[in-house]
Amino acid sequence: MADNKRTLKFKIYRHDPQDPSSEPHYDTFEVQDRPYLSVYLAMEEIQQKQDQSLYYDICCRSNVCGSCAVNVNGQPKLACKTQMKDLPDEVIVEPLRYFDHIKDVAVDKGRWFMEMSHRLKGWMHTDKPFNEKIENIQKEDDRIPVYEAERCIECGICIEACGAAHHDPEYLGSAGMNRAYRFIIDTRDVRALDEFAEQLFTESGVFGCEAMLGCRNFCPKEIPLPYHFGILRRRILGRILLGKK
Amino acid sequence: MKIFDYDVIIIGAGLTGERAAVAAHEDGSSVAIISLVQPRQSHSNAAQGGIQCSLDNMGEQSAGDDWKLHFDDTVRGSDWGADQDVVEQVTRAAPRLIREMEYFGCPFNRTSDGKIEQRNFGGTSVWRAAFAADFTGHALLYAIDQEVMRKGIEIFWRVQVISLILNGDRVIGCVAMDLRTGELIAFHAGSTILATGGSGKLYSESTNAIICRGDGQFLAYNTGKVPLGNMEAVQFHPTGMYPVWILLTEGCRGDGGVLRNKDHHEFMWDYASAKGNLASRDVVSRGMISEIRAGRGIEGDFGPHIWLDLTHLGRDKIISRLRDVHDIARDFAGIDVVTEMAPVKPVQHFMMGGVRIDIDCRARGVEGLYAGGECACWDMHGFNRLGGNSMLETIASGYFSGTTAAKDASGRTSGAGDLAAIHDEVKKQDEIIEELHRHDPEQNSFALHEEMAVLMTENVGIFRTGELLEAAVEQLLDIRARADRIGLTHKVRGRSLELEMALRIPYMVELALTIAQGALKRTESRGGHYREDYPARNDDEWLNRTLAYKQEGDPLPRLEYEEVVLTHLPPGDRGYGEKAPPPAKDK
Repeated sequence: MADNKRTLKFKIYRHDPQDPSSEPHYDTFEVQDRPYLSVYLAMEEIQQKQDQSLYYDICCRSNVCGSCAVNVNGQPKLACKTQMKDLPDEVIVEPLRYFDHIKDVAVDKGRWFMEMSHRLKGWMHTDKPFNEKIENIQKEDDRIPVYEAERCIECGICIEACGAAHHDPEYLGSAGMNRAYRFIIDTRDVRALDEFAEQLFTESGVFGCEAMLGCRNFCPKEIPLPYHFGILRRRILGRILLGKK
Repeated sequence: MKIFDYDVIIIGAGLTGERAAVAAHEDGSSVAIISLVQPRQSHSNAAQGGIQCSLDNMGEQSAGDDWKLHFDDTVRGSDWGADQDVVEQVTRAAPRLIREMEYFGCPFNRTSDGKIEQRNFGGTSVWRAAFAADFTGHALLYAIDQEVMRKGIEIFWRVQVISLILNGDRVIGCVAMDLRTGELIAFHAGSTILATGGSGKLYSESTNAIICRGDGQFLAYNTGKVPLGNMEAVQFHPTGMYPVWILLTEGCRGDGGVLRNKDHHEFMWDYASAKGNLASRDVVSRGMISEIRAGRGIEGDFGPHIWLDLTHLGRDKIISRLRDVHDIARDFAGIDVVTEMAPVKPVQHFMMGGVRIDIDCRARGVEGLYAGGECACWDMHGFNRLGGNSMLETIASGYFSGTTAAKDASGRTSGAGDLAAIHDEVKKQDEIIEELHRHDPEQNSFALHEEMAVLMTENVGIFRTGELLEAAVEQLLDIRARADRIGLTHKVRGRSLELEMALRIPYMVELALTIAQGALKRTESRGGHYREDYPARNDDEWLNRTLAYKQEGDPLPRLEYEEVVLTHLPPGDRGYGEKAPPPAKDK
């Protein structure tokens, strides 16, 4: 597919919400296909060589920072990771709809993710003082699931892909559940499940999921989000219905 | 205009900046972090393989490890360019600082007895690199960001700092552009810490993120008072994945991966008989380019490359310890590293040089300015940094700079004339931006950037000569002159990548000039600085550090030199069994 003869068409959403004269519209640009061309690299070429007013987010360009998430042909993806060889000749690029729009295809996810972490008190809770002579002892088997959850890069794609998140602005979504799960299963964090009750035992918490699995389908890190979600829901139902700890 | 007032402001929200913020906050200071991106997007994220600290958790593989062995490895790695008092301070503090990161929640891999596991890395005498699979930087960044959140430290993100504010010889804050609105805002502070990371985007082939443009280095340099140390000391990482230049961690080789040429020969033993694939990065990078020059590289559409072979490690080991490497190779190059070799080539990775600071992280030449991490030259790395020592430096220099800055700030009060200095600097920066708006561009900033970055890769790379460097300086001066003819095609103040680059391009070229000019004048080879016309290390004349000062009205720096601090380990052999690379047949 990465044949150099393809002329690719990029239809890109344009709007500057802070400029009263700006109307939402799409501009179309042409880029010659080349090996290793990604949506990000195509946008870079367009911005640098065709229209310098195009605004988009990019940082690590290697699927570790999460900044470049956009909708590509209606599906939320990281622009850096999405390769043109896997896509048709015409591509529509739009901003994530869920987050604060900055301009064109750039959005701000910082506010949402910081608020989410503050709601969950997303930091370690321990009753042991720090001991510089020896680290906390943790079994590797207990650490592995923490690692799996901690791989989340807060790109916002699971929230964008989530039907429930779009109609409940309070909903914590998969990113939020995954963050809570990360601390709940960490043997080093002393919090009891009940301490998360206000945030998780609600319809904006674990009972908000509508099981459409958009999070699983689009997570660029392939984190088993529904599985993490399921473990949380089972433990919380056990707590509520069966009085388990 | 908004003026924000804090005891301590920190520019940059990566590992250094956030560790500094936590330290300064714990010492009772009011603290704010200013960042281009939200903290968890900072480039510390992309550090993969590990962080060096002499925990000695690995039995036989780490037997006898202590700060002194770590110190010796670091100084040998630096090719005796490091300040040994700084190396001692950091290697002594490392176990405590890394255990603290574990206490903050970092999910380090564990040994069978539940301690932090350590892996082998390049240029080290024992297994010392603590790691969380191959996302160690991400795991550390999230852990320290959790502490920043716990403390409720204020963060200004999507903000580009464009100038420091001086009142006499004292830095009293900075002027920044809010990238959402284009508005200029000012920060007034007792202490200002630079923690902006590297400047890899001076090179066209680099593992660095787009935001690694040397902002902090230039902010300090532009005062004309603060020197940049050893800018010619540039690290090229052996295993940048071809041709997209995404890092594949040194942990690949630490865990048993090997480099092979087109005949599948494991050639590194021919260049470094004692350490082979795990010699220091400068030695391995030279070995790889020498193989390519000898016609034993693998030809590809983007020039020749070398193979990184992990296929003997097995799927389980790769998935559990090198998961991101596996995914990056699959997603960005279509390679399955479990069954196929990955194409790699040495590319720019790290700047050993930067804002010259003292052992307590105070910048030289002014009061009130501090720096840490990659944007600084402490100098812990000299002319070659060991893998895993950069993340250690971020945490250590974050801790020390935050502590020093908070202590100093508590003794400072607003000076007479601070307010006038703030307004003057904002006005000056506003005028610079307005001037850009008055001109249609005769030069495209992005085209100038590309021209500079390709030149740096070609002429100021792994193998350097006087001829190449002279040509580089000359062409950079020409690019710098043309950078005065940039303007804006779109006349907007905010939300403009064009404006963000237009403000940067003149200074990026000036930083490139400090590298090229420093490399031209240093007529010896040491660590990552290799001169084919002066292939030997020359301790009689060059056991020193280059200091580059900005000169008024001249884009070329004024160079001075200072002695390096030697305490325990006198200059000697590095111990890798390195053979001199064969001379090039043609340049």
